[in-house]
Amino acid sequence: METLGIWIGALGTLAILSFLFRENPFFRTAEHLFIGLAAGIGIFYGYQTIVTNAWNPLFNPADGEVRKWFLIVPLVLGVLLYTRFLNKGKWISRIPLGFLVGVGSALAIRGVIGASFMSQILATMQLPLWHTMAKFKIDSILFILGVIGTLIYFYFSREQKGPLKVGASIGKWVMMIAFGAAFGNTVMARMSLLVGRIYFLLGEWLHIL
Amino acid sequence: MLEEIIVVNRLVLLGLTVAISVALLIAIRQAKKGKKFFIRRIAGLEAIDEAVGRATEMGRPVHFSPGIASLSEETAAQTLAGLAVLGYVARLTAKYDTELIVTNRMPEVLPITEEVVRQNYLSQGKSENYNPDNIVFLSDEQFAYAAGCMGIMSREKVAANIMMGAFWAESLIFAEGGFAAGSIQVAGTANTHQLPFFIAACDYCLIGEELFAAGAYLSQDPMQVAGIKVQDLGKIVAVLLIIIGTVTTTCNWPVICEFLARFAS
Repeated sequence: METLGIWIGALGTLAILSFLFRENPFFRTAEHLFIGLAAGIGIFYGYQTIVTNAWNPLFNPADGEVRKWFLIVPLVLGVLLYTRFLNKGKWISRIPLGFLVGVGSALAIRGVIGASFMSQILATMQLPLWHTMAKFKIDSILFILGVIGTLIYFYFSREQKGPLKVGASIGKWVMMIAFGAAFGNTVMARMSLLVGRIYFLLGEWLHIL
Repeated sequence: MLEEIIVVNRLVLLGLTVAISVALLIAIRQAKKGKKFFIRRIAGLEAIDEAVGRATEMGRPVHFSPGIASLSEETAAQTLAGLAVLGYVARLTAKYDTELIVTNRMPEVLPITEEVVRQNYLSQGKSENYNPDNIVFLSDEQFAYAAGCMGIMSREKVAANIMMGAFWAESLIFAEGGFAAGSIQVAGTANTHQLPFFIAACDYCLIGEELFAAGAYLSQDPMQVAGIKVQDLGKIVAVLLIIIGTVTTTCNWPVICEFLARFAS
């Protein structure tokens, strides 16, 4: 069984990699298999999640556990999503969708104000203007100017003219340097993934390594 | 006593949340009353017109992806901004009778993309050209969705590939698939770790908050426009705080920084 799994994995890898040449029947087969399998697994896990997290605690609680009546709310909201298939009751599906969007927004606000806004500001505020930063080996004033320039780049209420244009240009350069570094870093990580695949093909599959 | 009721070290965050919420409500109210807030045009947006125009000239479809985030995550705002851009793209494709293919990863986003495209075809008087079969759900598995998108882009020979929303490791796969299909590519995401790939592989790119501003600019929705105004206000506050903080730190007077460090952690 393990050998069969290795063969399927190896052939699937080669079929997907064949896209590098061009779109072909092998890639198409692997693509459709991948999507089909993902759909099948998704249905299974979806069913399991509903049974484990909602149905059982609500209708078949384990011995000694209290029946969790409030779970009827997400269960009903979930069922309401299917009303989009009704011609006249289509609008009902907007209620659970609205709930989902509301939860998403609330989560975003919670995370953004603390981690993405205040912590970043505070970290920059604590830098003295003339001081070599140990981590980056650059003068902190360059770093501060870079942060302010990047903020100016994303200021949308005025046209970028005069001082705003200068600030935005600084911001743009700083971002491009940061993106370049991130690009190189991620390419290295992807190379290690490729090496892992090649090891799998040459080692586990062909036993050359 | 106070510490028993609320978490004292987050007092500043609470104040900020309240202040931002109030500012947002005021801005929304003003926008709904008809006050026009100015948002500068973003260069990458003009590229969307160019991309759809190219697809129209070539008689080939436009592919749009609203990203892979769901609507119940922190990144939901990116999906919503992407959907606003989708509305604009749908208006253009309806106007020029160009085929539009929208691929979805998240099941809950599918009905919204369907509705956005349908409404915009209707607004252009081209409801007969709206094809629900072109708004597809592929898979909620990240790389299965990526493989499906690559296949569609290649088989349908899309002339324009527009990606607006939250993307992760599949970003470069999409961009490479679009490039292989010979399409002009416009992308936008606020996921900073994926931006380098879009910048390197796409013809035009909306960076970070430009995606949200684009959504607001194109939809002119009072809620979204007001959101951008309040965010700009936040940036002014941030710049002021940084200037005050660095100057006071340099002068060895760290009272402000210490106060914020204590009550905004």
